[in-house]
Amino acid sequence: MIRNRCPHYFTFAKKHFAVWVTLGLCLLIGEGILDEPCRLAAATDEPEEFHGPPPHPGYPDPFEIGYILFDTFSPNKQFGIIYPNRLLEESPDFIVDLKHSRILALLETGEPYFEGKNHGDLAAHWAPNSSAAVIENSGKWEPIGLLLVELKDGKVILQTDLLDSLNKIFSPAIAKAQHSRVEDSAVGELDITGVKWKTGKSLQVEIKCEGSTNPKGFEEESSWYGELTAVWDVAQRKLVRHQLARVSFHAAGRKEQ
Amino acid sequence: MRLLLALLIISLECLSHAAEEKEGPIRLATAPSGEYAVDWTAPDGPPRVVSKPDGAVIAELKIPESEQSSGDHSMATPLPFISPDSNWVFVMNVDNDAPPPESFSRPSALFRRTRSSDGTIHFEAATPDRFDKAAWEFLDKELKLGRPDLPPDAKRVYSASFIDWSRDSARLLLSVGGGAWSPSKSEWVEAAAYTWYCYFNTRSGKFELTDRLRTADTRPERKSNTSDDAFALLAVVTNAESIGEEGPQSSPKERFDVVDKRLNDVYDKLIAKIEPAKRESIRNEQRAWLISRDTEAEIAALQMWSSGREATARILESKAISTEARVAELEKLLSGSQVK
Repeated sequence: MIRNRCPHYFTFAKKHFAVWVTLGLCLLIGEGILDEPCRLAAATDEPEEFHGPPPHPGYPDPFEIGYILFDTFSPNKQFGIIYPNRLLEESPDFIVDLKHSRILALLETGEPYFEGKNHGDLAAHWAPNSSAAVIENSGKWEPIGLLLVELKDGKVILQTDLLDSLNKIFSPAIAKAQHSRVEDSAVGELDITGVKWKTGKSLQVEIKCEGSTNPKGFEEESSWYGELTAVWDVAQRKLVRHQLARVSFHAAGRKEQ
Repeated sequence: MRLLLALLIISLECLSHAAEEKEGPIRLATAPSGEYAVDWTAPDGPPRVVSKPDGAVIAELKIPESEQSSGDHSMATPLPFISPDSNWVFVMNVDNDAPPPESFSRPSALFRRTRSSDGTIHFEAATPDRFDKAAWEFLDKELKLGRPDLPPDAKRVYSASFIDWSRDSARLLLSVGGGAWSPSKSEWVEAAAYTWYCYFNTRSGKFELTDRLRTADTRPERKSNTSDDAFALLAVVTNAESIGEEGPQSSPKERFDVVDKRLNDVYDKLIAKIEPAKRESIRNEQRAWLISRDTEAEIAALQMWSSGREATARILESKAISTEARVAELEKLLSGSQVK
């Protein structure tokens, strides 16, 4: 059984639950909103455990003692992500079906996230209908992976790394400003600032990010900065719109151009 | 008044629930025979063998301290691997958070199940000294691994990692390493980068090498730092040989490469032959199968607690087996009536 990401906080909360309930009820009575019990229920609505496949006979269960259930779930609460703790820190992250206790797919990111990873973080942005998610695996200067995971009939059917597509927009703009070749021009720092799902005729995801070539601000290096808004259409499997804004360029050793 | 009574009942209910939630022992492994299990209370309890029917504690599996061991291993997680006949338990302590040299160290012990005349079960250590140290000393003698002129303050650090139990429980396959650390210089004075294979033969009670292991241990690739899997995998062993079934291990890389080529050939033929309307469906099915194959292979390697090259080899083995089954499926489809 893999517990939720914050087992210590969870245990603490349970141990002191009586106090919290008493205080909470007093507050609710005071506020006169005791007739809204759904507010209390909402706090305990999240899945807490995941049971992986049975272990090899006689051996420890890696999913029992080596994995942690990430605390962001699909809106229908069926899907989630598990990542390794320090015991299995070189092992992959997986997307799992919590309802049927099944591991659906390993997340195809270059460097998997693990508990306590230096400069690492994990975020999951689920589509409202739980049919897709953008998984953000952060690194020090840029995401290690920005993975679009598509699900159908309870299976993972496709994983697409969106970083390549974003970099393909940044690179020509940087090359133009720097008078360099496109293949030699890339952002040095990429910061995802927003992921927003759009439902309408087709399922789309809007990604906002900031790219810069000189994150440490070295004077002897040129410095390009731009903010990108790009929209990926899930059915068409491509970026259908993009816009670069607030672009600035400082040549090496010069003032702003 | 009724509200106060309700509050009191809710509070008592929650208090009793909180008591039940108190962290208990974790079940680390269950014997294949189902007779006993190994439990552990984090963070520093010794692993305990408990009877499966009644939960009674049978034994504590404590790894003996080594004279040369230094540092604190109290945060290590013990990993038990029980033999197929349930008569042996290999336990290794893993602490990836420890600073060097403890991060390299894998203290371990092998315990044998015995039964006294009154039927009581006991577990006793198979070697008088630490198992990892004994394994290293055996390999050092066989393969001349260690540097003879260590500086006076150097401390030898050992690691013995579990790889496999043979099906007959007669051999425990280990990956063993040793290095020497100088506390005054805070550096390795003998590299701890490499590991070698050896068996512990549970029938003779001794460490041993077979031709399979000796060949792998003495290949130059064993000490290579290349990331080229094909090269590095030449010196990898993942399966322990049963007594009387000794012999070379087939290369998982070769097996996978052969069947992967066959898969591509069959798939291309199928796509070319099939009705255009069905092509997209076959493509989608193949994509989903690839995701499933790769995921199952990773799970199989994780269930054996493999890492590094052994993990790569086991993933390739698993992928080869799944791909062979897929090729058979697609060949059937190719010759079947679904194709125009």
